[in-house]
Amino acid sequence: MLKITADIFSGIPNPEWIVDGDDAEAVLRDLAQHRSAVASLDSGFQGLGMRGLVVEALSEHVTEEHGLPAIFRLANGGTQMESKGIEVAVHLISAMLKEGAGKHPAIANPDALTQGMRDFLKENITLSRAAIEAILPSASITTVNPEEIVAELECAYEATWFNPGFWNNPAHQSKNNCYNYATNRRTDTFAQPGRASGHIYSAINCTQVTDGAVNDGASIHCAPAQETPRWFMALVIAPGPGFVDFHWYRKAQQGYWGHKPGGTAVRNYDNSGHTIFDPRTANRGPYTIFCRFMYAQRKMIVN
Amino acid sequence: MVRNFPATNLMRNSAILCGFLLAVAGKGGLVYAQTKEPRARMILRVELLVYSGRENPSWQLTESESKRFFAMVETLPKQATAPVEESLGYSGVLVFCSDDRHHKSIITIFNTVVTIQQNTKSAELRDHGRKLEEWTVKTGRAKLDPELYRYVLMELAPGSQNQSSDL
Repeated sequence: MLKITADIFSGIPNPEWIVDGDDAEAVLRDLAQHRSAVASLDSGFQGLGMRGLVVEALSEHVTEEHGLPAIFRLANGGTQMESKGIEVAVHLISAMLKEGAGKHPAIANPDALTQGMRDFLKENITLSRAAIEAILPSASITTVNPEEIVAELECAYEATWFNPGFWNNPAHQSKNNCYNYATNRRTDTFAQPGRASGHIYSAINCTQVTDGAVNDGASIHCAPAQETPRWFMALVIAPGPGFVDFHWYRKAQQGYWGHKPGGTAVRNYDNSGHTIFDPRTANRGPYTIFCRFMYAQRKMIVN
Repeated sequence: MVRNFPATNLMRNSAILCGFLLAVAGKGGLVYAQTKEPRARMILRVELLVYSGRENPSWQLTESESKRFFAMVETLPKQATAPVEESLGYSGVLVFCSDDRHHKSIITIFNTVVTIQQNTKSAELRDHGRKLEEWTVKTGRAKLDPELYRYVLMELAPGSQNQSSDL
């Protein structure tokens, strides 16, 4: 069983679907014989627009039987065999309207699986920047953002390789929380938004916690190049009743998001055990309010 | 490296649990012969594992609560190592045990799994019906925000998402 994500949007959830049975086996066999069509998550085109398909195995046997990674990209310009990657990607996109493709707990937005979406993805995967650049590396192409309303997409930011070992060390794990992790600042002080700047939140809601972080040096707008490194963060709130708290995520170089629930270990999966590719659609338990994306700038200080 | 040690008859005299664990850690196996030693003064502090951004609430058990806690731990059966799935929201309780001989141990209780850890050694016990977990949470009733307390009890209730099948 494979979970396919068309990595094209950033402001709205990417379309996801399941490919199972003979279709999945045929694709895996095909790719096993054309291993150079398979790209790692962090390779190839990572900008605005079509970034290929992310293929995630939901069964253990994929790695063992087919010698393929548990998660990889296709058709994003990250391989030496893009034509094969695009061919397989088109086949996978064609399967998105099959019965059961959207009926799985791992699929967050089955309503997105429409004929219009399928045709849109087919067109974009074959005419994608990644595909064209693979043929003409020096081609000058203007990318049209498919969701122009999402301002944060246009911001430049940096990302580190997901490295939970840096945080899950017994000497540090319990002393750092989600805010430490999201800002990439291991202070060992269980940092609080606004504490370093003397403007700690007076209530836990999106406005107050955002203001605390901004006072510490975060930005809700694009951060300038001189503020590099600029980490891409997301803030969510548990509004209660009963349970009131805030929580942060940070995007990793691999394309997914990491987070650190309090003093527990850093991980890149949500409350359903799924890899987080979008904190807005991840299972966040009681943290039901998504506040916003933000940037931890170079000048940011947390405590 | 974490090593397991047998948990049978683990705590005949609960008052020296912290020291007992250190003795085990030093000898690499179950050696329980300290009941004649003078009782150590212990402090048991409970931390509710619930928040991500905020500091977790914590409180100290009274002497009678500490005795009751150890009496309950003593009755728990051993179980094989089982991973505890933490997530956002309520994820159990930590009990920090320290005594005046500088012995320290940490007991983690969540979703039927009890892990006792000292230095690099650990033992796992099974908390059928989450009775120890619920009892420990309830010792914090007067110290916790009433709304938070209700939220945690709901998480502990049968049928909640946090509820183990407890086979």
